[in-house]
Amino acid sequence: MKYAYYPGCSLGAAAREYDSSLRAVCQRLGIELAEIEDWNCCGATPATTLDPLLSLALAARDLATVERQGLAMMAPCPGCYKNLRKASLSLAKDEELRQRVNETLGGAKLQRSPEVRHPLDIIVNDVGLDNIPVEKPLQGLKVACYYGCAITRPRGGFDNPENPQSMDRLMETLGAEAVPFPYKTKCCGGAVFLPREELALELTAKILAKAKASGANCVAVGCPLCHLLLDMYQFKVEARAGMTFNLPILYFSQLMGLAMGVDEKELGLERLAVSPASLLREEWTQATA
Amino acid sequence: MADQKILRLGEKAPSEEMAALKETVASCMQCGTCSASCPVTRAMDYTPREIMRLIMTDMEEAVLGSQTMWVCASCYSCAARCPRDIEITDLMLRLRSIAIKKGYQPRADVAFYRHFMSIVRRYGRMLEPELMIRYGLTTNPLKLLGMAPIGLTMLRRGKLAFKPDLIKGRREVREIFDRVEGGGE
Repeated sequence: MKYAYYPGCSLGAAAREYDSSLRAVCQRLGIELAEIEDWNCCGATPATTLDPLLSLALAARDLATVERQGLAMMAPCPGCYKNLRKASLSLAKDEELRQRVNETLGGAKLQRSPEVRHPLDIIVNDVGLDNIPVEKPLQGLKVACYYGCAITRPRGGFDNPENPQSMDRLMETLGAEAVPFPYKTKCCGGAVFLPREELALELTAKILAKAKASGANCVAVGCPLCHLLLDMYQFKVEARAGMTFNLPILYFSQLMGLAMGVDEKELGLERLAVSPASLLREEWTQATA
Repeated sequence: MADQKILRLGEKAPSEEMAALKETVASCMQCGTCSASCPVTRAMDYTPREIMRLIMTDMEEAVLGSQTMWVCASCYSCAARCPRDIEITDLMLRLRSIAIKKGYQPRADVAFYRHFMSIVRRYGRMLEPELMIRYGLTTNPLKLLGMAPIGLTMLRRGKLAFKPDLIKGRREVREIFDRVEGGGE
Protein backbone atom coordinates (compact mmCIF):
# COMPACT_ATOMS: atom_id res chain seq x y z
CA MET A 1 0.00 0.00 0.00
CA LYS A 2 1.66 3.20 -1.15
CA TYR A 3 0.39 6.77 -1.38
CA ALA A 4 1.76 10.11 -2.48
CA TYR A 5 1.89 12.11 0.75
CA TYR A 6 0.86 15.76 0.74
CA PRO A 7 1.58 17.09 4.24
CA GLY A 8 0.49 20.65 3.46
CA CYS A 9 1.80 23.73 5.23
CA SER A 10 0.26 23.15 8.68
CA LEU A 11 1.80 19.72 9.22
CA GLY A 12 5.27 21.23 9.09
CA ALA A 13 4.45 23.80 11.76
CA ALA A 14 1.38 24.10 13.99
CA ALA A 15 0.29 20.50 13.35
CA ARG A 16 3.66 18.79 13.67
CA GLU A 17 2.26 16.16 15.99
CA TYR A 18 -0.35 15.22 13.40
CA ASP A 19 2.43 14.65 10.87
CA SER A 20 4.72 12.62 13.15
CA SER A 21 1.93 10.49 14.65
CA LEU A 22 0.38 9.81 11.25
CA ARG A 23 3.69 8.81 9.70
CA ALA A 24 4.42 6.49 12.65
CA VAL A 25 0.97 4.89 12.51
CA CYS A 26 1.13 4.44 8.73
CA GLN A 27 4.49 2.73 9.04
CA ARG A 28 3.04 0.28 11.55
CA LEU A 29 0.08 -0.38 9.28
CA GLY A 30 2.27 -1.07 6.27
CA ILE A 31 1.24 2.09 4.47
CA GLU A 32 4.16 3.54 2.57
CA LEU A 33 4.14 7.32 2.20
CA ALA A 34 6.12 8.93 -0.62
CA GLU A 35 6.18 12.67 0.09
CA ILE A 36 5.30 14.63 -3.02
CA GLU A 37 8.43 16.23 -4.38
CA ASP A 38 8.60 20.00 -4.01
CA TRP A 39 4.89 20.39 -3.30
CA ASN A 40 3.42 23.88 -3.06
CA CYS A 41 0.63 25.30 -0.89
CA CYS A 42 -2.79 24.26 -2.20
CA GLY A 43 -3.96 27.88 -1.93
CA ALA A 44 -6.55 27.14 0.78
CA THR A 45 -9.50 29.56 0.72
CA PRO A 46 -7.40 32.69 0.09
CA ALA A 47 -6.45 31.61 -3.45
CA THR A 48 -10.03 31.09 -4.56
CA THR A 49 -11.01 34.31 -2.78
CA LEU A 50 -8.64 36.22 -5.04
CA ASP A 51 -9.20 34.16 -8.18
CA PRO A 52 -10.74 30.70 -8.68
CA LEU A 53 -8.34 30.00 -11.55
CA LEU A 54 -5.35 30.67 -9.29
CA SER A 55 -6.68 28.11 -6.82
CA LEU A 56 -7.06 25.47 -9.53
CA ALA A 57 -3.62 26.20 -10.98
CA LEU A 58 -1.82 25.87 -7.63
CA ALA A 59 -3.61 22.60 -7.00
CA ALA A 60 -2.85 21.41 -10.53
CA ARG A 61 0.91 21.81 -10.07
CA ASP A 62 0.74 19.40 -7.12
CA LEU A 63 -1.66 17.05 -8.87
CA ALA A 64 0.60 16.88 -11.93
CA THR A 65 3.52 15.81 -9.73
CA VAL A 66 1.40 13.09 -8.15
CA GLU A 67 0.30 11.95 -11.57
CA ARG A 68 3.93 11.29 -12.46
CA GLN A 69 4.28 9.24 -9.28
CA GLY A 70 1.33 7.16 -10.48
CA LEU A 71 -0.17 7.01 -6.99
CA ALA A 72 -3.27 8.16 -5.16
CA MET A 73 -2.66 11.13 -2.88
CA MET A 74 -3.05 11.19 0.89
CA ALA A 75 -3.89 14.66 2.21
CA PRO A 76 -4.30 14.78 6.02
CA CYS A 77 -5.36 18.43 6.26
CA PRO A 78 -9.05 18.62 5.30
CA GLY A 79 -8.53 22.09 3.86
CA CYS A 80 -5.93 20.74 1.43
CA TYR A 81 -7.93 17.54 0.95
CA LYS A 82 -11.07 19.40 -0.06
CA ASN A 83 -9.23 21.85 -2.29
CA LEU A 84 -7.11 19.27 -4.10
CA ARG A 85 -9.93 16.75 -4.43
CA LYS A 86 -12.29 19.36 -5.76
CA ALA A 87 -9.70 20.63 -8.24
CA SER A 88 -8.88 17.09 -9.32
CA LEU A 89 -12.52 16.21 -9.95
CA SER A 90 -13.39 19.40 -11.78
CA LEU A 91 -10.26 19.28 -13.95
CA ALA A 92 -10.97 15.66 -14.86
CA LYS A 93 -14.48 16.56 -15.93
CA ASP A 94 -13.84 19.75 -17.85
CA GLU A 95 -11.28 19.47 -20.61
CA GLU A 96 -11.43 23.11 -21.62
CA LEU A 97 -10.79 24.19 -18.04
CA ARG A 98 -7.92 21.73 -17.77
CA GLN A 99 -6.33 23.23 -20.85
CA ARG A 100 -6.66 26.74 -19.45
CA VAL A 101 -5.12 25.65 -16.18
CA ASN A 102 -2.34 23.74 -17.93
CA GLU A 103 -1.41 26.91 -19.81
CA THR A 104 -0.54 28.52 -16.49
CA LEU A 105 1.80 25.66 -15.50
CA GLY A 106 5.47 26.05 -16.46
CA GLY A 107 6.38 22.50 -15.46
CA ALA A 108 4.50 19.21 -15.86
CA LYS A 109 0.98 19.41 -17.21
CA LEU A 110 -2.02 17.58 -15.85
CA GLN A 111 -3.34 14.77 -18.06
CA ARG A 112 -5.54 12.60 -15.92
CA SER A 113 -6.49 13.63 -12.42
CA PRO A 114 -5.13 11.55 -9.54
CA GLU A 115 -7.33 10.44 -6.69
CA VAL A 116 -7.14 12.55 -3.52
CA ARG A 117 -7.92 10.87 -0.20
CA HIS A 118 -8.03 11.62 3.51
CA PRO A 119 -6.05 9.27 5.81
CA LEU A 120 -9.21 8.34 7.75
CA ASP A 121 -10.65 6.97 4.52
CA ILE A 122 -7.48 5.02 3.77
CA ILE A 123 -7.22 3.59 7.28
CA VAL A 124 -10.87 2.60 7.57
CA ASN A 125 -11.47 1.45 4.00
CA ASP A 126 -8.11 0.31 2.56
CA VAL A 127 -6.38 -1.03 5.65
CA GLY A 128 -9.63 -2.03 7.37
CA LEU A 129 -10.48 -1.75 11.06
CA ASP A 130 -9.88 -5.47 11.59
CA ASN A 131 -6.26 -5.04 10.56
CA ILE A 132 -5.32 -2.44 13.15
CA PRO A 133 -3.02 -4.06 15.73
CA VAL A 134 -4.37 -2.81 19.08
CA GLU A 135 -1.89 -3.54 21.86
CA LYS A 136 -3.14 -1.20 24.58
CA PRO A 137 -6.89 -0.68 24.27
CA LEU A 138 -8.04 2.86 25.10
CA GLN A 139 -10.47 1.76 27.79
CA GLY A 140 -11.68 4.65 29.91
CA LEU A 141 -11.35 7.20 27.14
CA LYS A 142 -14.67 8.74 26.18
CA VAL A 143 -14.06 10.37 22.86
CA ALA A 144 -16.16 12.98 21.08
CA CYS A 145 -15.29 12.45 17.41
CA TYR A 146 -15.17 15.85 15.79
CA TYR A 147 -15.03 15.69 11.99
CA GLY A 148 -15.52 19.38 11.27
CA CYS A 149 -16.43 20.49 7.75
CA ALA A 150 -14.21 19.46 4.92
CA ILE A 151 -13.66 15.77 5.71
CA THR A 152 -17.19 15.02 4.50
CA ARG A 153 -18.59 18.12 2.84
CA PRO A 154 -19.93 19.20 0.47
CA ARG A 155 -20.75 15.63 -0.55
CA GLY A 156 -19.58 12.63 -2.53
CA GLY A 157 -16.74 11.79 -0.16
CA PHE A 158 -16.05 8.65 1.82
CA ASP A 159 -18.39 9.31 4.73
CA ASN A 160 -21.85 10.69 5.42
CA PRO A 161 -21.85 14.51 5.65
CA GLU A 162 -24.68 14.59 8.20
CA ASN A 163 -23.64 11.78 10.53
CA PRO A 164 -20.19 10.46 9.64
CA GLN A 165 -19.09 7.24 11.35
CA SER A 166 -15.53 6.42 10.27
CA MET A 167 -13.78 8.07 13.22
CA ASP A 168 -16.35 6.69 15.70
CA ARG A 169 -15.79 3.14 14.42
CA LEU A 170 -12.05 3.69 14.53
CA MET A 171 -12.18 4.85 18.17
CA GLU A 172 -14.29 1.84 19.13
CA THR A 173 -11.79 -0.43 17.41
CA LEU A 174 -9.08 1.16 19.56
CA GLY A 175 -11.09 0.25 22.67
CA ALA A 176 -12.32 3.77 23.45
CA GLU A 177 -15.94 4.76 23.82
CA ALA A 178 -17.19 7.05 21.04
CA VAL A 179 -19.80 9.17 22.79
CA PRO A 180 -22.85 10.29 20.79
CA PHE A 181 -21.85 13.80 19.73
CA PRO A 182 -24.42 15.88 17.87
CA TYR A 183 -21.91 18.60 16.88
CA LYS A 184 -19.53 16.26 15.11
CA THR A 185 -19.81 18.16 11.82
CA LYS A 186 -20.46 21.68 13.10
CA CYS A 187 -18.03 24.34 11.91
CA CYS A 188 -15.38 25.76 14.29
CA GLY A 189 -14.88 28.87 12.14
CA GLY A 190 -11.28 27.92 11.39
CA ALA A 191 -11.27 29.31 7.85
CA VAL A 192 -12.08 32.83 9.09
CA PHE A 193 -10.45 32.76 12.51
CA LEU A 194 -7.94 35.54 11.80
CA PRO A 195 -10.19 38.15 10.19
CA ARG A 196 -13.23 37.10 12.27
CA GLU A 197 -11.84 35.86 15.54
CA GLU A 198 -14.89 36.60 17.71
CA LEU A 199 -17.05 34.48 15.47
CA ALA A 200 -14.64 31.55 15.53
CA LEU A 201 -14.36 31.70 19.33
CA GLU A 202 -18.14 31.65 19.61
CA LEU A 203 -18.49 28.61 17.35
CA THR A 204 -15.64 26.78 19.06
CA ALA A 205 -17.20 27.42 22.50
CA LYS A 206 -20.37 25.67 21.40
CA ILE A 207 -18.48 22.63 20.17
CA LEU A 208 -16.41 22.31 23.35
CA ALA A 209 -19.47 22.80 25.57
CA LYS A 210 -21.39 20.17 23.64
CA ALA A 211 -18.50 17.70 23.81
CA LYS A 212 -18.36 18.19 27.56
CA ALA A 213 -22.13 17.81 27.88
CA SER A 214 -21.96 14.61 25.82
CA GLY A 215 -19.80 13.06 28.53
CA ALA A 216 -16.55 13.10 26.58
CA ASN A 217 -13.22 13.29 28.42
CA CYS A 218 -11.36 14.11 25.21
CA VAL A 219 -11.99 15.07 21.57
CA ALA A 220 -10.54 13.41 18.47
CA VAL A 221 -9.92 15.52 15.37
CA GLY A 222 -8.47 15.11 11.88
CA CYS A 223 -7.90 18.77 10.97
CA PRO A 224 -5.10 21.21 11.91
CA LEU A 225 -7.42 24.23 11.95
CA CYS A 226 -10.03 22.52 14.13
CA HIS A 227 -7.17 21.47 16.39
CA LEU A 228 -5.73 24.97 16.59
CA LEU A 229 -9.05 26.41 17.72
CA LEU A 230 -10.18 23.63 20.01
CA ASP A 231 -6.80 23.10 21.64
CA MET A 232 -4.56 26.17 21.31
CA TYR A 233 -7.42 28.66 21.60
CA GLN A 234 -9.23 26.71 24.32
CA PHE A 235 -8.09 29.04 27.12
CA LYS A 236 -9.26 32.03 25.11
CA VAL A 237 -12.60 30.38 24.40
CA GLU A 238 -12.93 29.60 28.11
CA ALA A 239 -12.22 33.20 29.08
CA ARG A 240 -14.71 34.52 26.58
CA ALA A 241 -17.47 32.01 27.36
CA GLY A 242 -16.87 32.10 31.13
CA MET A 243 -16.63 28.31 31.22
CA THR A 244 -13.91 25.79 32.00
CA PHE A 245 -13.49 22.88 29.62
CA ASN A 246 -10.02 21.47 30.27
CA LEU A 247 -10.66 19.06 27.44
CA PRO A 248 -7.65 17.45 25.73
CA ILE A 249 -7.91 17.54 21.93
CA LEU A 250 -5.99 14.79 20.15
CA TYR A 251 -5.49 13.91 16.53
CA PHE A 252 -7.07 10.56 15.71
CA SER A 253 -3.58 9.42 14.68
CA GLN A 254 -2.23 10.18 18.16
CA LEU A 255 -4.96 8.05 19.73
CA MET A 256 -4.20 5.29 17.24
CA GLY A 257 -0.53 5.51 18.14
CA LEU A 258 -1.28 5.18 21.86
CA ALA A 259 -3.43 2.10 21.29
CA MET A 260 -0.94 0.55 18.89
CA GLY A 261 1.94 1.03 21.32
CA VAL A 262 3.84 3.52 19.15
CA ASP A 263 6.71 5.27 20.95
CA GLU A 264 5.17 8.32 22.64
CA LYS A 265 7.98 10.55 21.38
CA GLU A 266 6.65 10.10 17.86
CA LEU A 267 3.14 11.03 18.96
CA GLY A 268 4.07 14.57 20.06
CA LEU A 269 1.67 14.61 23.01
CA GLU A 270 3.82 17.27 24.68
CA ARG A 271 2.98 19.65 21.85
CA LEU A 272 -0.68 19.83 22.84
CA ALA A 273 -1.72 23.01 24.65
CA VAL A 274 -4.25 21.17 26.83
CA SER A 275 -2.16 18.38 28.25
CA PRO A 276 -3.66 14.89 28.07
CA ALA A 277 -1.26 13.67 30.80
CA SER A 278 -3.76 13.49 33.67
CA LEU A 279 -6.44 12.02 31.40
CA LEU A 280 -4.11 9.26 30.28
CA ARG A 281 -2.77 8.68 33.78
CA GLU A 282 -6.09 8.71 35.61
CA GLU A 283 -8.68 7.50 33.13
CA TRP A 284 -6.73 5.26 30.80
CA THR A 285 -4.25 3.40 32.98
CA GLN A 286 -6.82 2.89 35.74
CA ALA A 287 -9.15 1.22 33.32
CA THR A 288 -6.46 -1.03 31.88
CA ALA A 289 -4.85 -1.89 35.23
CA MET B 1 -32.84 43.18 6.95
CA ALA B 2 -32.91 45.55 3.99
CA ASP B 3 -36.37 44.56 2.76
CA GLN B 4 -36.92 47.76 0.86
CA LYS B 5 -33.91 47.13 -1.30
CA ILE B 6 -35.23 43.69 -2.20
CA LEU B 7 -38.40 45.26 -3.59
CA ARG B 8 -36.59 47.57 -6.00
CA LEU B 9 -36.21 45.06 -8.77
CA GLY B 10 -34.06 45.19 -11.86
CA GLU B 11 -32.43 48.57 -11.57
CA LYS B 12 -29.91 47.80 -14.26
CA ALA B 13 -28.58 44.88 -16.25
CA PRO B 14 -26.14 42.66 -14.37
CA SER B 15 -22.44 42.67 -15.14
CA GLU B 16 -20.99 39.75 -17.06
CA GLU B 17 -19.73 38.08 -13.87
CA MET B 18 -23.02 38.45 -12.04
CA ALA B 19 -25.00 37.27 -15.06
CA ALA B 20 -22.96 34.06 -14.99
CA LEU B 21 -23.70 33.61 -11.29
CA LYS B 22 -27.36 34.28 -11.89
CA GLU B 23 -27.49 31.23 -14.12
CA THR B 24 -26.03 29.04 -11.40
CA VAL B 25 -28.73 30.08 -8.92
CA ALA B 26 -31.64 29.96 -11.36
CA SER B 27 -33.10 26.83 -9.79
CA CYS B 28 -33.17 28.32 -6.26
CA MET B 29 -36.69 28.05 -4.83
CA GLN B 30 -35.98 30.18 -1.76
CA CYS B 31 -36.60 27.33 0.65
CA GLY B 32 -34.08 28.77 3.11
CA THR B 33 -32.34 25.49 3.92
CA CYS B 34 -29.03 27.28 3.35
CA SER B 35 -29.80 29.99 5.89
CA ALA B 36 -31.13 27.48 8.41
CA SER B 37 -27.95 25.41 8.06
CA CYS B 38 -25.51 28.32 8.15
CA PRO B 39 -23.71 28.62 11.50
CA VAL B 40 -22.81 32.29 11.04
CA THR B 41 -25.91 34.07 9.74
CA ARG B 42 -26.06 36.28 12.83
CA ALA B 43 -22.90 38.04 11.72
CA MET B 44 -24.18 38.54 8.16
CA ASP B 45 -26.13 41.51 6.80
CA TYR B 46 -27.99 39.30 4.32
CA THR B 47 -28.63 35.61 4.90
CA PRO B 48 -27.50 33.18 2.18
CA ARG B 49 -31.10 32.82 0.99
CA GLU B 50 -31.40 36.59 0.69
CA ILE B 51 -28.14 36.74 -1.26
CA MET B 52 -29.57 34.18 -3.70
CA ARG B 53 -32.66 36.30 -4.17
CA LEU B 54 -30.63 39.48 -4.59
CA ILE B 55 -28.60 37.80 -7.31
CA MET B 56 -31.73 36.61 -9.07
CA THR B 57 -33.15 40.12 -9.02
CA ASP B 58 -29.96 41.84 -10.21
CA MET B 59 -29.33 43.74 -7.00
CA GLU B 60 -25.66 43.75 -7.78
CA GLU B 61 -24.52 46.57 -5.50
CA ALA B 62 -26.32 45.12 -2.51
CA VAL B 63 -24.74 41.73 -3.15
CA LEU B 64 -21.19 42.89 -3.78
CA GLY B 65 -21.24 45.44 -0.96
CA SER B 66 -22.48 42.84 1.48
CA GLN B 67 -20.59 41.35 4.42
CA THR B 68 -22.14 37.94 3.86
CA MET B 69 -19.47 36.28 1.73
CA TRP B 70 -16.71 37.59 4.01
CA VAL B 71 -18.41 36.17 7.07
CA CYS B 72 -18.92 32.81 5.33
CA ALA B 73 -16.69 30.26 7.05
CA SER B 74 -16.82 28.00 3.95
CA CYS B 75 -18.11 25.08 6.02
CA TYR B 76 -20.19 23.79 3.09
CA SER B 77 -23.25 23.05 5.26
CA CYS B 78 -25.47 24.98 2.83
CA ALA B 79 -24.07 23.22 -0.24
CA ALA B 80 -24.37 19.78 1.36
CA ARG B 81 -28.05 20.33 2.10
CA CYS B 82 -29.30 22.42 -0.84
CA PRO B 83 -32.18 20.44 -2.36
CA ARG B 84 -31.36 21.97 -5.75
CA ASP B 85 -27.65 21.09 -5.51
CA ILE B 86 -26.56 24.68 -5.89
CA GLU B 87 -22.91 25.11 -4.91
CA ILE B 88 -23.71 27.95 -2.53
CA THR B 89 -20.35 27.97 -0.73
CA ASP B 90 -18.42 28.17 -3.98
CA LEU B 91 -20.75 30.95 -4.99
CA MET B 92 -19.88 32.88 -1.80
CA LEU B 93 -16.18 32.49 -2.59
CA ARG B 94 -16.83 33.63 -6.15
CA LEU B 95 -18.65 36.71 -4.82
CA ARG B 96 -15.51 37.58 -2.88
CA SER B 97 -13.35 37.54 -5.98
CA ILE B 98 -15.88 39.55 -7.99
CA ALA B 99 -16.23 42.08 -5.18
CA ILE B 100 -12.45 42.50 -5.00
CA LYS B 101 -12.19 42.88 -8.77
CA LYS B 102 -14.91 45.52 -8.80
CA GLY B 103 -13.34 47.45 -5.95
CA TYR B 104 -15.98 46.83 -3.32
CA GLN B 105 -13.73 45.43 -0.63
CA PRO B 106 -11.27 47.62 1.19
CA ARG B 107 -11.71 45.62 4.40
CA ALA B 108 -9.47 43.75 6.81
CA ASP B 109 -10.66 40.45 5.35
CA VAL B 110 -9.09 41.25 1.99
CA ALA B 111 -5.82 42.24 3.67
CA PHE B 112 -5.69 38.80 5.23
CA TYR B 113 -6.26 36.94 1.94
CA ARG B 114 -3.76 39.12 0.07
CA HIS B 115 -1.04 38.69 2.67
CA PHE B 116 -1.65 34.95 2.68
CA MET B 117 -1.24 34.68 -1.07
CA SER B 118 1.74 37.02 -1.31
CA ILE B 119 3.57 34.69 1.11
CA VAL B 120 2.65 31.66 -1.00
CA ARG B 121 3.75 33.55 -4.10
CA ARG B 122 7.21 34.17 -2.65
CA TYR B 123 7.97 30.92 -0.83
CA GLY B 124 5.61 28.41 -2.44
CA ARG B 125 4.31 27.56 1.03
CA MET B 126 2.76 29.28 4.02
CA LEU B 127 4.76 30.87 6.83
CA GLU B 128 2.23 31.40 9.59
CA PRO B 129 4.12 33.84 11.88
CA GLU B 130 4.78 36.17 8.94
CA LEU B 131 1.10 36.09 8.03
CA MET B 132 0.03 36.91 11.60
CA ILE B 133 2.51 39.78 11.87
CA ARG B 134 1.79 41.30 8.46
CA TYR B 135 -1.93 41.00 8.95
CA GLY B 136 -1.72 42.47 12.45
CA LEU B 137 0.40 45.42 11.31
CA THR B 138 -1.89 46.40 8.44
CA THR B 139 -5.17 46.02 10.31
CA ASN B 140 -4.84 46.46 14.05
CA PRO B 141 -1.36 46.42 15.60
CA LEU B 142 -2.94 46.20 19.05
CA LYS B 143 -4.42 42.89 18.07
CA LEU B 144 -0.90 41.55 17.72
CA LEU B 145 -0.50 42.00 21.47
CA GLY B 146 -3.64 39.97 21.99
CA MET B 147 -2.11 37.17 19.93
CA ALA B 148 1.05 37.11 22.06
CA PRO B 149 -0.10 34.51 24.62
CA ILE B 150 -1.01 32.04 21.89
CA GLY B 151 2.18 32.84 20.00
CA LEU B 152 4.23 32.07 23.11
CA THR B 153 2.43 28.80 23.77
CA MET B 154 2.98 27.76 20.17
CA LEU B 155 6.62 28.75 20.45
CA ARG B 156 7.11 26.64 23.57
CA ARG B 157 5.42 23.69 21.88
CA GLY B 158 7.67 23.97 18.84
CA LYS B 159 4.77 24.86 16.61
CA LEU B 160 6.13 28.01 15.02
CA ALA B 161 8.35 28.00 11.97
CA PHE B 162 10.64 31.02 11.68
CA LYS B 163 12.25 30.32 8.39
CA PRO B 164 10.23 29.97 5.22
CA ASP B 165 10.09 26.43 3.89
CA LEU B 166 11.32 27.50 0.44
CA ILE B 167 10.41 25.21 -2.42
CA LYS B 168 12.67 24.70 -5.41
CA GLY B 169 9.93 25.53 -7.87
CA ARG B 170 9.36 29.07 -6.54
CA ARG B 171 9.78 30.48 -9.98
CA GLU B 172 7.18 28.07 -11.36
CA VAL B 173 4.78 29.16 -8.62
CA ARG B 174 5.45 32.85 -9.28
CA GLU B 175 4.79 32.29 -12.96
CA ILE B 176 1.46 30.66 -12.14
CA PHE B 177 0.48 33.82 -10.28
CA ASP B 178 1.65 35.99 -13.17
CA ARG B 179 -0.14 33.99 -15.82
CA VAL B 180 -3.42 33.98 -13.92
CA GLU B 181 -4.85 37.41 -14.43
CA GLY B 182 -5.85 39.12 -11.19
CA GLY B 183 -4.02 36.69 -8.96
CA GLY B 184 -1.44 37.69 -6.40
CA GLU B 185 -0.60 41.21 -5.48
